Amino acid sequence: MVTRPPQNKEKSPVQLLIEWLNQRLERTIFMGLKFTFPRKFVSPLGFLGFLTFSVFAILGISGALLMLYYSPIVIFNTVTGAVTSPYDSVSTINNSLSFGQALRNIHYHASNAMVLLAVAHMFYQYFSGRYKLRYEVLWVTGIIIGILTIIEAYTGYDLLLNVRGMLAINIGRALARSTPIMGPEAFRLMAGTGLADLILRFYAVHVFIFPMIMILVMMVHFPRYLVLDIPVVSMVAGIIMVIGGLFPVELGAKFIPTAEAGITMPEWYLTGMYAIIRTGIDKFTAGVVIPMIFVVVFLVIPFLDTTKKLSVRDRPFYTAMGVAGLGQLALTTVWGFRANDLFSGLDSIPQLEINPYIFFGAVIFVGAAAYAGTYLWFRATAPPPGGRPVHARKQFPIYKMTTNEWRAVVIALLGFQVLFDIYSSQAFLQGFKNVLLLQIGVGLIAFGILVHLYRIGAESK
Amino acid sequence: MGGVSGVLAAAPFIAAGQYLIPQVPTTFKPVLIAKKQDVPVNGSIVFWFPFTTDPTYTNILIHLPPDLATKAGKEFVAYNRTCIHLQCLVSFLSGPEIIGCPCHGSIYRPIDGWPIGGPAAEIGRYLPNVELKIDGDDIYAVNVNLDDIGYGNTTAPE
Repeated sequence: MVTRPPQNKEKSPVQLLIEWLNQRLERTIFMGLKFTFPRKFVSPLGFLGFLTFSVFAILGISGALLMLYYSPIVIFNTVTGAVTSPYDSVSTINNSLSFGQALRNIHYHASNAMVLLAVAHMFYQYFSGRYKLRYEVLWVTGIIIGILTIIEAYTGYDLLLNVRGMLAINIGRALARSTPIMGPEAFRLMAGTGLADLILRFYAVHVFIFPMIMILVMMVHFPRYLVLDIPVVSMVAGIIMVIGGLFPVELGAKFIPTAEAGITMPEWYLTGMYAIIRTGIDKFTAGVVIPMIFVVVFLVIPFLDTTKKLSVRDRPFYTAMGVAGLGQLALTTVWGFRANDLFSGLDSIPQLEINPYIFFGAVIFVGAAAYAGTYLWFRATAPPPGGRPVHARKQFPIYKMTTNEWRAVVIALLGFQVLFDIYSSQAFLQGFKNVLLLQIGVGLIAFGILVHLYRIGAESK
Repeated sequence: MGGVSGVLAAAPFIAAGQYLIPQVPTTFKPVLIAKKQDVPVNGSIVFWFPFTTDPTYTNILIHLPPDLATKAGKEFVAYNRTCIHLQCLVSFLSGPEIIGCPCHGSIYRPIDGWPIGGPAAEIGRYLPNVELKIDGDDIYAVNVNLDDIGYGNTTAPE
């Protein structure tokens, strides 16, 4: 082994260790990725993808810990009618185990955050035109990961086997069975020989098969240049936990076959599909074909829009398409929660059926309005003929702190964190589960702010 | 040539599909589900058949009231409880003498399981019937078509 002579005797042992590691990591895959640690605040819109991945990591850790107590076993007692169900183990995690409720809430709210961040990431990249000009593979793999994420989330919330999960399972099974070819086989592929098999299959898919496939596809999806912005990542983690503390996820009612089911809603990322199914048109068309059309349109866009233009204004057709897609997604998602009449709440079974003419009429109207609106907007705000004005970047007045102020704020934040650690340990000892999660989240947000202050402080010196 | 060889080497793994899609029997051992006197006229009981792994394997045995029994040509009928709309579990309602689904209000005719109301009526397939064998006072469940559960049967029960 060749050892290099020390370049600089002033280097600390830590620096030497990092250098040593760096040289050895040259032999690994990691050096193919270029991590950037921003020196000042940059818009998180540019690295929503990495934020999504950070939340995926949070889900991996919290999910692995939940696995220690979760039990995917379903047994029906045909004599007494009692059901042994995964619900019991989730109930134990939620109600009896220290930190169990916190973990469950982290896992649940992180799953929502991941779907939300993934959708935001997709639309931001779409409007930035980052799906063509050698971005095609990134775009297509991204869409695939997006679909896997939604299915992953779907299998996850079914694993509770509460009434709500059972509704989702029933719809999923009915859709699988309604496949025109291989219907019974598709059904049995999903459900095995019954609910006990189905839960076990969903469990395997949720904790291993899909995450592994997602990681493999991510290896292709990751661009070489990654932005690891520790302040924003810890803020996102903190916000997830604060929301988890403020709005703890419910256990729901245990699914018992003999009990009547009330109206339950799917998760928000599936209510769009739910609304289409509720129109009463053919199940397979509603639940598979129409969502697939939406996906396929986004999948083939890089192969349709082959111009070299990137600005939203230079490709009004595709910009309008993105606006239309976003509008239709919003409309159907909201309608899934509402009665047949979009403007009234859903509280009785007859309101479940949505009039297909009004529904699809509204969906088409939103699409048309998006096109008209986008073109009109571009026309109204068109730059004067003969070249476009150079937009001067707006400078926001930023208050620059003096060194003493900076020190005071950093020390105050540290004090704040100490205080919140004391509070949260108190909350833990006294069993205030929501307060605990809220305080952990606040601590993480404080950490994010502190790291941000530290880096801008370091910049100004 | 390499590609052909690869395909040939991979072909036997198609059989692994049977591992993913479990094969279930199409005929079952008859199960004693009730004695005739256990089910009052215009009443029903719930029984599990052919498996006990899933509530979609629960069924209702209905003792038809005389007028319906004349129409159906038999006293006892049995159907799988899984609604063909979205797989909720249906029950026999002795008041209106219908089979009703609690989720979205589908209604089936007790004499043959034909959907006459709600979203199931738009689908238009029979509720899968459970074939019965009556031996003296004993009622046995003999067979049910598993592929029709939660989907519906296109032919009327015999």
